[in-house]
Amino acid sequence: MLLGALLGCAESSDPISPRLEQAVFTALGGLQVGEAITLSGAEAAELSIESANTSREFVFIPFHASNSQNRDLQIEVRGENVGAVSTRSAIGGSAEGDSHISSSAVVGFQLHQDLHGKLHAAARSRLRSVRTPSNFRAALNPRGDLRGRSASVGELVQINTTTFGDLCEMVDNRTGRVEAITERAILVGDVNNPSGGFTATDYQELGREFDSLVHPTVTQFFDTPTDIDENGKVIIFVTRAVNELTLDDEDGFVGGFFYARDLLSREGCNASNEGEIFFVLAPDPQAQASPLVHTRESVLNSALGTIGHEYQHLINAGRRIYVNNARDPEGFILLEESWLDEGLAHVAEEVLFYAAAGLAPRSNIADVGIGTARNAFFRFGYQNPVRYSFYLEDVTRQSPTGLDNLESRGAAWSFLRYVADQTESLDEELFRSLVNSKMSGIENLEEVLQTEDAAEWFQRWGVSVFTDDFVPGAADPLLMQPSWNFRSLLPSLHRRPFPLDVREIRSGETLQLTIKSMSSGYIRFGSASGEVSRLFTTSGGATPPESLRITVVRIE
Amino acid sequence: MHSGIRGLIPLVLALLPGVAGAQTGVGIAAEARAGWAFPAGDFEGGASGFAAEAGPTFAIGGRINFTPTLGIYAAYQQTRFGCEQCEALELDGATVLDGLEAGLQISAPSLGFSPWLRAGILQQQLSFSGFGERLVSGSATGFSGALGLAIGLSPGFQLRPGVSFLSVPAEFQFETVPDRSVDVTAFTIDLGVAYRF
Repeated sequence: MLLGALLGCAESSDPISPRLEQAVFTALGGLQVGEAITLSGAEAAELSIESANTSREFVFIPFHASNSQNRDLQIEVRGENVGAVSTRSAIGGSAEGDSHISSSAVVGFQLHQDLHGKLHAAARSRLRSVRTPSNFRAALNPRGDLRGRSASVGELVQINTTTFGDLCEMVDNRTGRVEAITERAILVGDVNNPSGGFTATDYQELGREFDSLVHPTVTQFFDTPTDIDENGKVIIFVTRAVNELTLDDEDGFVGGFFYARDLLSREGCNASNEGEIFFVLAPDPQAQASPLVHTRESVLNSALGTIGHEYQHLINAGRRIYVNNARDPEGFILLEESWLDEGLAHVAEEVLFYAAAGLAPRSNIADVGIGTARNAFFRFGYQNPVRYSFYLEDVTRQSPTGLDNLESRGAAWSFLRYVADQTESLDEELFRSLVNSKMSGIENLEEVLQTEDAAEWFQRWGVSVFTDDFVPGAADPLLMQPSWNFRSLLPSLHRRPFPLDVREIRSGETLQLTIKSMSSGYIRFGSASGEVSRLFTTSGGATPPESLRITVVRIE
Repeated sequence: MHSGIRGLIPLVLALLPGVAGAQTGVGIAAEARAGWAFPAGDFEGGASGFAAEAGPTFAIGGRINFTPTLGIYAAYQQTRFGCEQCEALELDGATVLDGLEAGLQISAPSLGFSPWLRAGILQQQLSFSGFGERLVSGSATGFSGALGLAIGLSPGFQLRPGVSFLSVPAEFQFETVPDRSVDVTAFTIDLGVAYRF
């Protein structure tokens, strides 16, 4: 011992047990406000927190680190000598605000999301059976009636709109009339659309905004689309076929869709439209095509956001099939996984909001204000925070990498925004890299982020969900979300407190949480002055697995 | 080179008194000290929340007096501060500061006793023990100061009561939690026994 002391560091090279480190760390004062520690696996089984001379408050954030989609991890957390939390609301935030959005407008997007997920899953499944030879593109036989250079306003074309059954066999052709042709778009209107729909001027204006806003913005961030129909444009088909997908007035409505089927050759997929095309809701003021009324004004207001979203899907799928040659090990087309594809599509909506509002990311938007920004927010921006709030309400049972639904999309968007804000690369570099990949899902993310542990990003993001704009003096910038101040924005949108599901634990109490892969849970607790509080964590009664990572942040 | 050394010898001899060292305070001495250390400042209970408590201290070392008034000393020193919250955290009830101390000593000889003054540099580390392991901070440099009396007991033996102050930073580098540092500051009251050879 004497010799060791004389040598000074003789013992420091030995590995020290985390338990001893944590005990010493706690003895030396423990966490400062805004500071976090993270433990994993067996290390997380017991956590001791001492409040030396003041009462303190903490948030305990278990995270499920698993690349397997939609997997559950059940944990039990028992508190010992833990105290009540302060009156400052864990889910705080002002319920006041002037940016209220109606619940019906929010719900109105739901079916659109669900349909899109089904179409995406169907396309991925079907593409598993379509082996694409290297000369696939050469086998394309573009349909003459959709070739932009030869199309003219007033021309009638046939477009397959079916979304059910075998995607390559079922055909439900609708007749469309070319209503406007701009530099980047061909606007086609279904000749059987309900009365009271878009005027020729409306189509022209949609095309103009597509050219001036949507195309330059989306291609800046997600790269250029393919042009398999060799017309230099995308086709936007405004059709009642979209309205007809809404069967009742209880679950919202379908706003539009893109189908990767339409990028396939007819040789391998007979029902393909063989072109860059997406489908948009038609105005229906008398509810003739579905039980829901859609005024011309409301569809005009939402159409470009939908188009921007679908445009990312189109670019992503087209480049994977024809440019990046993304193939699975068996040589079949590898589309992007739904959660990441949807997350990127919602980022497309966000970047359109920034462009239209004259704002930029990393400006911690707490209020949409008035004028241009407010208008842009309600055209392009508000649905992302709303979906994110749905995720927060059900945070342990949903995941950014989960099955396609509103909650997972809100989470995936917020996660990708966090990654973009926290990496040194430009946003467009990051998103283009994710689009131009031969891999998909987590593997794609890990390759682009140059990490072997994407879970660490999801975990940090999960902590930032709680800490951003709430914990004073957060020491680690990775615990912040620089672009949005959701603690202020969401209460102002919903007129209710910040919706994050945060639980509290008391002494002797055991809380059970079931956490989806890549998602987190939130437990708040207090520690009285001079007391040592302990949290014991098990999984199914046993030592926690390595896939459990726990972060503790001192919040007061 | 040789001429240089030969040149130094008369200088050293000139500094040394012309009588035996044992009678004049010149020469080599061994010393053992024991006492009680009292934490001070943040180490006693500051903003960090860590609060050390008073505990025993001891030191073993030696001293070379070049003249009756000037010498150098070096010692191994260990202090076991109490740590109330350590027990609640299943740590040993003491945190140990130990390491080397070296410096200059100035004495003012008188008849039966003489005051002395020390200023030294510390190279020490703080450690905690528990769960069958010992966790040691990085070794760091600090300083100390002391004053006391030398009371002759018999030829060669002295009692040397004193008070001292020390300050040394202790930085812990952890693997699983953020790093932490604490400034160890303390006053010591102790009693030394020295033997001059």
